[in-house]
Amino acid sequence: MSAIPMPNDSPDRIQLLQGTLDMLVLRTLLFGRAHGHQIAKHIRRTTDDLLQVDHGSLYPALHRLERKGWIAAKWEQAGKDLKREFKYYRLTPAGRKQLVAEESKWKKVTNAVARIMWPVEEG
Amino acid sequence: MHWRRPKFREQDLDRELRSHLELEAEEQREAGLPPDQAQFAAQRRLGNITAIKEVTREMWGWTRWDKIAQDARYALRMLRKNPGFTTIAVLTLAFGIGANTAIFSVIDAVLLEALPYPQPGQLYSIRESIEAGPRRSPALVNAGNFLFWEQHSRSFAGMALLQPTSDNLNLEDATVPVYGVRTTASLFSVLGIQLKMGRPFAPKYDRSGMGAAIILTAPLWRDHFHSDPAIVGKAVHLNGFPFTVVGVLPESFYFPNQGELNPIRIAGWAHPIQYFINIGLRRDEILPAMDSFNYSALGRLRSGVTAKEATAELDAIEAQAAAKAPEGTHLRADLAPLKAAVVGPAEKYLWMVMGGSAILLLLICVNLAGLMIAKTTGRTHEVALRTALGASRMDIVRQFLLEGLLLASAGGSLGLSGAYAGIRLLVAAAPVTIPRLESIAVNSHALLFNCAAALGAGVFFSLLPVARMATGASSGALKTTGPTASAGRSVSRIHQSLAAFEIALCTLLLVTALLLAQSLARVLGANRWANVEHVITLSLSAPPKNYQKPADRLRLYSRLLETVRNSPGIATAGVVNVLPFTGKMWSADVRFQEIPKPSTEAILADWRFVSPEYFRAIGLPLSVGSYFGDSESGRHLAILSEGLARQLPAGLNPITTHISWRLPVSGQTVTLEVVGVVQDARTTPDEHPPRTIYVPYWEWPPWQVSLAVRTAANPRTVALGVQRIIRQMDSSIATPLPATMHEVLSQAVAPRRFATLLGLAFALSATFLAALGLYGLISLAGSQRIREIGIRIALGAEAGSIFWMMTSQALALATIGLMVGTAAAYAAARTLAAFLYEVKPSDPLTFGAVCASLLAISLLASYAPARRATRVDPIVALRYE
Repeated sequence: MSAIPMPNDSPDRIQLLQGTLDMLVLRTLLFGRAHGHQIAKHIRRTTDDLLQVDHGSLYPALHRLERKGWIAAKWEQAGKDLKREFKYYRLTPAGRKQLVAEESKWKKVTNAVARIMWPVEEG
Repeated sequence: MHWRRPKFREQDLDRELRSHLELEAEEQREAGLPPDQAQFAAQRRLGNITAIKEVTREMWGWTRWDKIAQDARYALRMLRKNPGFTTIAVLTLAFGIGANTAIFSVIDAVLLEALPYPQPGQLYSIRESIEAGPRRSPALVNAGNFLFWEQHSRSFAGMALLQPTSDNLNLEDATVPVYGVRTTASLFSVLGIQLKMGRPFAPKYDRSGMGAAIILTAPLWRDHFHSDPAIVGKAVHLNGFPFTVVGVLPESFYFPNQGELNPIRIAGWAHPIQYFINIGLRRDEILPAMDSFNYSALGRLRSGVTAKEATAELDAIEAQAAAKAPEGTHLRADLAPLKAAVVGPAEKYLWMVMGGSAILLLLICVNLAGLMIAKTTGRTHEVALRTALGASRMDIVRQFLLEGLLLASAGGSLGLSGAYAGIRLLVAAAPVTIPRLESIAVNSHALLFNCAAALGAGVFFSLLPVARMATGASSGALKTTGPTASAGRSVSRIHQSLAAFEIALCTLLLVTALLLAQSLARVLGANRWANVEHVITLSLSAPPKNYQKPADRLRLYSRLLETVRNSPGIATAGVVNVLPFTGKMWSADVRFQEIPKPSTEAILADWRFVSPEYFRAIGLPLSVGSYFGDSESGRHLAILSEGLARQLPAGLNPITTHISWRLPVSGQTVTLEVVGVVQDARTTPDEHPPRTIYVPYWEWPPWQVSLAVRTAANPRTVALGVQRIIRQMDSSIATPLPATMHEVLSQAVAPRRFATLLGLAFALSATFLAALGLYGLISLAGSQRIREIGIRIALGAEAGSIFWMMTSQALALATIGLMVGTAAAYAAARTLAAFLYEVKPSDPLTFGAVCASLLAISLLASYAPARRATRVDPIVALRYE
């Protein structure tokens, strides 16, 4: 019995959201290692709380990216006096390439959408 | 890496999520929430942890298998909870799949692997037929014509002439009967077979007038010559004559047995071929084109030549060969693929049996689908609950499919072990006329077939209920605690169609099985005169060394008959060259002197050479005139069969006719005086009896005869006595086991009986299953409509009307099934017309009986559940409403 916490009536939307989330995670990790909580917080903060990352879909996304080899995970000590361990993710070279690819794809899509929504006179 | 192992990975995820929760809670506390609320808030933000873990695990990839394992455990639990259903399902599936696997094994060995030679498709059996006016009488092959083909035909890469023979093999301490083939040098190159040692025959001896070279099969070499590695060049003795061993065949060599070489099966001749001797045709064997069709032939077509082209070419050659034939009579060549010729009628019977068992398996699946639906109707609640808990439709489908496949594989493997046991039984019960019987086994092909059948069955009967569930409104199921009182249609339409379909399949099987059974009974009835236990038969051949002259053979046979007749327990005894039911041999023209010379039609008949007492011994009744008398020895006489007598022009009394006949060896022509007409005797039990002419054995004492002995005492003890008499008379004559006429006949009807008995077994099992299916359906309907019935009873409905309400449903379904089934059965019977004997495919009695009995069985199957419905207590039924 599997409970799927995503709306399962329109698979297209899930696909888009998943792809976007993947890109955002990869982009976040471009600055260096981070654990799940940090990633979620970072995305939320940098978008001024506009994009609420659903924690429920963040962890599956992290594990998926790891399986694809775009990010690598390691438990590392951190915090004050290095007492606690967190699972840190970092970008792999393959992940870096993927991010570039995703970015250019995203740009194309947003440009295309923008041209339809706000046509401007060329001049 | 260690953490990739499931357990570590599970702990890892757990730890990761816990640390996330801690951090989140810390943050909430820093934001000013009290500690206990902070914990809750963190959990709220993260969401359903179990769900997250579930989805994350999916990301790991191969958890699909974990899921299937989990589903399988669940499925096993469900099956254990329903032991009755599980037992029925596994047993019926085992029966169905096992029967199919066993029969497939037979088909695989007999039909699919029939000819173990290179390019077997190029091999054809060649026969001749005589065309006179509209009629075409098939015959064997004339040796002279064969030599003519060999000389002129360009279509064949090679052809071989064959004649079965049985001889006495003289060993140091004993004489044993052995069975072989006389053949031309070309045989092994035509077949494409290499010898294990030695060389093939030399072609120059094909017409030498004597065969003195022998090639042994591996079994004969092994059993009687101790696998002597230096046997090539040594002499072995057949009938007292030395034959030089020129070669030995490999162990894997296969050759059709003597019976299969004959275009008409010779049931009593199913002896495997043990050796080949070179044919060495004598001058008296190479006779005019229209005479002595006593051989078989086979050829290998040149690549690129079609059978049609080859037939056309041979026909043209035949026209030249038969240039001197009577006006209006033509010789034709008939080509048949060797495989068809070897497998013969067994092929049709085997496919029929396979069809029957496939239909039975279909019915078993339909029945199980019905049971599954009945079971899942009780599970709609469970399914609705699981769907509400988040199970996707795929999950539910997978669950049911798994249950089905588990059942099917259990049934399949049980069926496989059943097939292993059943195949022994099948081979034991199978007619010996089925070729390659000894090579039948449950092999890898059968294993594959078994798996495919189980898989197919499992998918079929588990997906139907799912299809129903997909259309069924599962959302409503949760609202009530059980089946609703207002359920308009109590049992799903799919379930009802399944029950009707079962009845239809059952009708199909019953009708065809009964038509076959009637045919069998009529075939046996038509040959009742011969179906006797107290006539024993025994074939023997006179060793040519001691009985070269016809007079010597005549003296041997008459002395033997006299001694046998005077022994205790024997009524009378006679000899014949070919017994009834053992095949068509010795076909030749009959020339009546009373029919004017330029006859438009040659009359072809089977020639039988008999001792005077033969007719009384075998029990063939006289119609007109008289039998031969012992005292008439030396006179030129003939007796006609009724069929042959009917060929005479109207007004011509058969008793007054005369026949011109040329004696086989001397070539002298004599006039035979017809003295009587006897009843027809058949060469096969279910074909029209051939026209037959009987000539006294003093005209031509055959080399091989069958002794027919009518006994007055226990035939078993008498048989032993007869064997002893022959041995005392001449120890060089091999004496095979005697058989009663009853055994000869039952061997000849064996393929028909085999198919009929299996068909009846299938039909009866089908009836039982269909009744079970209907019983299940009506029981389900009863329990689902319990409230409705309660209301009806509370409102004053009579028990009778409730009973009728329930049974009428069964009868309605049965009627629909019968209508579909009779249509299908009629179509099937039309295609099976070749198997039917004196029964029409539309036999009204059979159809009527099947319909009536199936209606009665439907009534019987619904009786108990219908009675249960009449006893519904309205108070109990309505308590929960």
